[in-house]
Amino acid sequence: MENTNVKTNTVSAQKKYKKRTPMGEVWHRLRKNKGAMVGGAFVLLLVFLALFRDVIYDYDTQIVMQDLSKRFIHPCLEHPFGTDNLGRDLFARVVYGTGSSLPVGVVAVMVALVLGLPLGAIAGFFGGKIDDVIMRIMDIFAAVPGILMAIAMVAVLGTGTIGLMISIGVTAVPAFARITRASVLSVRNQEFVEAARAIGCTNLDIIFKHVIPNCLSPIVVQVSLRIGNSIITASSMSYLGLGVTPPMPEWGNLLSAGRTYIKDYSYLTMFPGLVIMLTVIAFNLLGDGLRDAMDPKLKK
Amino acid sequence: MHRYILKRIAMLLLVMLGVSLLIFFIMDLAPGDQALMILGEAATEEELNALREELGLFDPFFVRYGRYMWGFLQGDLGYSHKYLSDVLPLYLERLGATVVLALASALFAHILSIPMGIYAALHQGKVSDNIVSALAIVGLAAPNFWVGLLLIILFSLKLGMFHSGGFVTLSDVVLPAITVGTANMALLTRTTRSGMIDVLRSDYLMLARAKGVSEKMVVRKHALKNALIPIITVSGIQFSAMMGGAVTTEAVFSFPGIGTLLVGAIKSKDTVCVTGCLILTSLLVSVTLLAVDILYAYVDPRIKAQYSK
Repeated sequence: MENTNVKTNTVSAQKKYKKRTPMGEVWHRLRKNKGAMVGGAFVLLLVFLALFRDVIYDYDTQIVMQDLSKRFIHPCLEHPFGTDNLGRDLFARVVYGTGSSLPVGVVAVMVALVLGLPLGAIAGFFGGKIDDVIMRIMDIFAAVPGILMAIAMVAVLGTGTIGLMISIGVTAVPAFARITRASVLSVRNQEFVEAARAIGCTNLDIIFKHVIPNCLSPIVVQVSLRIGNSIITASSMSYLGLGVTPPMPEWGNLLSAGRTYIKDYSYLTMFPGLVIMLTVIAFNLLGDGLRDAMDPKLKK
Repeated sequence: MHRYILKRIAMLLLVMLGVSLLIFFIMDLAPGDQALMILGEAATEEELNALREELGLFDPFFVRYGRYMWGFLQGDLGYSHKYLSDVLPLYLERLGATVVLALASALFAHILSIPMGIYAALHQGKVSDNIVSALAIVGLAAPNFWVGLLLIILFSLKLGMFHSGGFVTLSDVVLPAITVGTANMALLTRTTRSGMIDVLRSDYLMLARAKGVSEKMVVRKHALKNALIPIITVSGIQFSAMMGGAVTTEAVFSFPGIGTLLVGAIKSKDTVCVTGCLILTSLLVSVTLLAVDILYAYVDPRIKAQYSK
């Protein structure tokens, strides 16, 4: 099909400017952003720890086994974060806790995405009555403050990881629906949508194969920023005793356990909080970097 | 303008009706048996069933919802068996503490963030700007219950300046206010900085400078006024969110606000109390948000002009 002339032209162009795929272009710009790269590396490390926590540590002997002869050892070389009131190594528990905190944050955002993205896309694409109904329902969900909604849902779903993931996810649905809707509105009247309709694509095909792929960049950014937030909410809930319950370590419940001994052993509250903060910073830096890389117009 | 306000109020009422239905539905699914709470574990099944019948717990969902809302409109939100009090007076009593906390933390956040944001914007790209931006990143990422615990370690355990919990004297509000205010301050600093940078680039500031207005006056009179608009939006959202009580911060400091009330009620499965608190809080947050929106239209003539079309 391709004209040979055009082909030679492209080849000569390739010599001057390296041609990149859209994703390659984003990656190229992202790579120049130091903050995003450091954040991304930290996120990768966390994912690795979360996936292989049971290879690194043995749950029964290294995470939950009590050894009262070793209680309250201040941070030292052998125990970088010290030991808790039951003689368990806090560093091991924080590292193992990555596997509780990170999945909750990630899955919660996935729940929000799976519900919010189609709702927002349908509302934005069809407009009119459908849009009104969907967005008013989203308004109702958004009117209940996030953490209160999550607390109420946990009362129904029960505490524990699954309940936590769904509860936190549902609270973020309106945000994803709104962002998707706004970005669908900006592309739905463009020519390629009309072209897809002209060749006989069904509405569903148009939405999922043509419209959504062209609206992804604000959504990807939102995902990265939201994961950090969800991790904070999840650890808050665990801190309140409404999330992951001991003896399974989770960053929030480690903090809550340290609260009792805050007077004499403040290191017990220091480290888990520091790790939560670094994690959220990492996701935020990555999200900010992605936003700048995907939409250079927005960059200040 | 008035038509716009009326429309917004009508919309708010509709959304709140939906919110009440949603919350009533969720709490209906939640475990927690009123009859069991009243009679205690010792009651027999017949006694429990008799009481359930009397309370109308066997009625269909919409009958119970209708009855609840009828009571709600008359100010009767039911009786909390955990706190041994009617829900409404209980809520109003706790609301005072939450409002004090919200005001104090807003004060803290604004006093620090606006000057910091302006300073950073005026020194864009310099070391001081980078420090402010880094502080904002840290402030946004620090979980507030952790910030609270650190403040307790430093100011109440090490320095002995404040109590570590409760709300007896007004000074007890200082640490919780800083805790809630930290993240808000970080976001406000960012907003102020980017708002100022946008305004500083604008043509009318160039005109002001060309006329010979001093740089100090340019910043104070011409730039800040316009940069205030996004700041007001953000602080409005933050303040309305704080009306919902700072759940984790209140828990850290055992602060007797709405957050601790709600968590206590959830833990003891007091669904009546939880339902009432959630509906009232959502109402309060939405009304505050609407009030800020309307106020904002009055402050900015451009926005007012948009709505009166």
